[in-house]
Amino acid sequence: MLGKIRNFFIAMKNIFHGGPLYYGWIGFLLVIMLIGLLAYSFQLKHGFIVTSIRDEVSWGFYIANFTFLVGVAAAAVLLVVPAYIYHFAPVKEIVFLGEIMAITAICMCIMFVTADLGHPERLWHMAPFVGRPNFPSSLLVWDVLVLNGYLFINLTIFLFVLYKIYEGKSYSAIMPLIILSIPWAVSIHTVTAFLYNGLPARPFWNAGILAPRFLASAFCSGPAMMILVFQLVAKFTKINIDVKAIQKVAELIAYTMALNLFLLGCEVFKEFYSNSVHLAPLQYMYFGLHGHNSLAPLMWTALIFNVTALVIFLIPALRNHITLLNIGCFLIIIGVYIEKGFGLVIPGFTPSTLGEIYVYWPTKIELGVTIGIWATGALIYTLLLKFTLPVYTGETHLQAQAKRKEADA
Amino acid sequence: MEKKSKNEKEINRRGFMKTAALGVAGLAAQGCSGNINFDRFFQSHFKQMDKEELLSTLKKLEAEYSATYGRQFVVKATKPMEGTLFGYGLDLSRCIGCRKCVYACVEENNQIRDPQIHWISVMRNKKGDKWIDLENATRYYDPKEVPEDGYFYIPIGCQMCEQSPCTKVCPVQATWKEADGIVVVDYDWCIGCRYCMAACPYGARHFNLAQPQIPKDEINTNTHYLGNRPRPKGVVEKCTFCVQRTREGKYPACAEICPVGARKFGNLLDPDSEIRYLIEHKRVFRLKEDMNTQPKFYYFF
Amino acid sequence: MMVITAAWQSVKTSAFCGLGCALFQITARVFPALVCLFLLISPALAQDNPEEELVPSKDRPGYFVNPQGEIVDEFGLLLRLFEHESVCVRCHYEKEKYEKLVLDWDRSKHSKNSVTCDKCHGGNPKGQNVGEAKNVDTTNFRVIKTPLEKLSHEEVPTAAFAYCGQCHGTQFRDWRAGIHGKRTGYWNGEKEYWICIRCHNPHNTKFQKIAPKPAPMAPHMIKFKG
Repeated sequence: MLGKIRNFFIAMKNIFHGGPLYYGWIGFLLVIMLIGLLAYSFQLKHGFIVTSIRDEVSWGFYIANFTFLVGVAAAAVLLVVPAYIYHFAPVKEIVFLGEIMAITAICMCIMFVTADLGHPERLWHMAPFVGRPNFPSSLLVWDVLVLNGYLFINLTIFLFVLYKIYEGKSYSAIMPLIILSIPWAVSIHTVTAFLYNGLPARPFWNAGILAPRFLASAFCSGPAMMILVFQLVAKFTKINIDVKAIQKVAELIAYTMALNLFLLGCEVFKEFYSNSVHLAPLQYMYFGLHGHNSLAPLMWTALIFNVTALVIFLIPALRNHITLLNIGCFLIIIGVYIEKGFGLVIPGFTPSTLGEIYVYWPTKIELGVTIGIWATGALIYTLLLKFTLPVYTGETHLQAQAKRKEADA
Repeated sequence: MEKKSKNEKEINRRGFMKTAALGVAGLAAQGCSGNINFDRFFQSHFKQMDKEELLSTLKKLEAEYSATYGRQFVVKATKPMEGTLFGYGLDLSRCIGCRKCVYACVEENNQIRDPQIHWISVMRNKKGDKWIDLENATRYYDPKEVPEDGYFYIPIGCQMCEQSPCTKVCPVQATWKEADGIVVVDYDWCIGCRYCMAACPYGARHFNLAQPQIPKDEINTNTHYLGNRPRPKGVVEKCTFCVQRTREGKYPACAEICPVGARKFGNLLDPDSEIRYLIEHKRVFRLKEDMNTQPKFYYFF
Repeated sequence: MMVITAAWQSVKTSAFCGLGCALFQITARVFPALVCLFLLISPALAQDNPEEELVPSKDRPGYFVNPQGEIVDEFGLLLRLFEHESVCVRCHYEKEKYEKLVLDWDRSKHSKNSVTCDKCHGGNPKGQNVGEAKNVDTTNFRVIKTPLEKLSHEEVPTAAFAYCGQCHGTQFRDWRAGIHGKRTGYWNGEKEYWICIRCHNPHNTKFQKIAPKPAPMAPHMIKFKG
């Protein structure tokens, strides 16, 4: 046991050693994190008046980012299924990259939700036994449970599999947990969708189609992010990524983006054809309402990006071309980030329950905290990767052997 | 030579990490100091407090408020009366949109003046073929005199729903419906997630965006723990049917101040009350009844 | 011959002078009278003259103010009041103390529905002299001995019924149940039912508009300051 812990710390030490590029990257991330921390402490000191949150639009940029990132976390399952269930070798080699992304995304989600609270120090009020969680009535409690559960599952699987690889042994003991993580990944995003869905006060969200839309958009934006990040990883580390893996993931993106746009089309038809008062949020989004049309350019950009990306991904010749693929991924990430983030939260509150339109744009403080959290996520991903890769390639094994030789000698 | 430079690098790195860590800790401490009250950090939920804890909490609050505002405060925790279920009636044919209720409520319930919170929103609607058309209604009307010709006014506040969506979604049970029908908030338990604000169909819940600034000479020192005591920043608040008054048998401040007698208040369980008479003899309706929230705020013409 | 010519000349001159004097006399006397007459009737002429604008006087309701700033009378109003069916009005519209009340009442719905003074204040509307007009009938409720505000708790509902409730039965019924008008006090205890005249002015029945309190701040106006 002691040996295992010592080996763990040997692996951990790798985090602190790297080339100038590595230090430069870490330093850059730390600077942005500092900005985020400064902004957040300003928000804690003065209250939410420093943000654009008001009574009419009570959730804003933080929750928009949170929603997008829960989708990214759920999308790791798109790698898990081919890897562990179908034993598709190219994907199996890189599945840990997806798991690390899921862990990072969940950490960022937790940070975003905490940043959005008026009293983050009172989070213990939601814990069982010491607090008073409103279970099973409140979807937020469910969300906290499934997100933390997903984090725990992913960490366990990841560390367990990694350790088994390090020792060169089979990891089949953890298979039940791996199998569990598949429906769990779907459920984290479904629960987040239900969080919005169960509010009749907000007819824009109170549509049965919301949960399917969430999943469809998650399963195209998450993998798109993964494709881009994996290419960066392949560029800056010793890992080789089989192009077949990327192609497989790109194929999945094609189907999910098609589904995402179809579901959007269903929603648009229902509202515009029925032409009830509940058309107002959609009208505000795409055409403006009562003279307020600042959101429309953003939403049309998202739509155009998504459609373009669909075309790129549908046609195999285009999607196998690496530059076009990267452009497509970039378009999807921006498109879904807008549609699922800003384009979901804000129209839900516009017009407000009393028919008022308040135009919400994040303030500098909100932007500062947001980029700080994204930088933290990037840092977590980098550090986890720095920890994992040497183990994966066998370097750590060699290091541990060397250390033991030293100790014996 | 190489080893020395490596050591230098190590020292520099260590130094940087230390200063960075100290800086972060300092910032966090400074940022948090305005927000966390360590004295009452482990305070229990209101419904879980035993008598001792409740009394000591009330005393601590009284001391805190008295020190902050320089006047002797009373913080009560009056229980609901037996056999009461409060209901409210509003005569839309009489409301003239003068907003006296809005400001009487602000003074009685110690709402922050800046940034402004109003628990009552008076919506001005155009008379005509459309019913209550909230999309084209406004609460920012500012004529020289009211009522304006061709318009009618609907004051909207917390409807005290029997099946309230806000209490359903609160993750920490910081808001609940009391036995006498009033939906209350425990301001020391609320985590400020604002889920209840998203869930409320009537725009009745308000968020404290900043540290409350209430003019010392306008503050109301007769307070209730669940009602009008000064709230900390970062928590949600709303109308409580003036719990500090109604549980002692008085009318809410808005009902008392209304110059045209448009506001009616009473006990729904008392067959002789005016609210029951109103429901039985007038054509009453409630807002957004299709949401099935079963509000206890009845409007009539 | 010369004498006759001279005499004719003098006659002519004197006649001419006399004529001139007479003319002068006539003009000197009649002309001012004419002028006075003209001045007297000029307002009447001016009324038909669309250039002369009369605005309602703020100090004396029912009267008007001409462009010169003088308070002038609306002939129709005063004549009508002078010959009103209710004897009380004929005198009381002039007395300074009651002038505003009577003029207000005259514009109100009460006067248009024959709710005259005697209906609340008692008396004989058809009396021919002051004594007859003030002849109060003590056998019914239409007697005011006490100002309404000073009525005791028990007398209030009776008074409300007596004065207003006789015609406004629906409102009176709702008022007794508590849903018309205002009450203060305790919802489960002693209440004070505000009697009709605390909100409604029986002489000037239309509710006066009031200035509203300030509008709330729009959310985009709520900003962080420093």
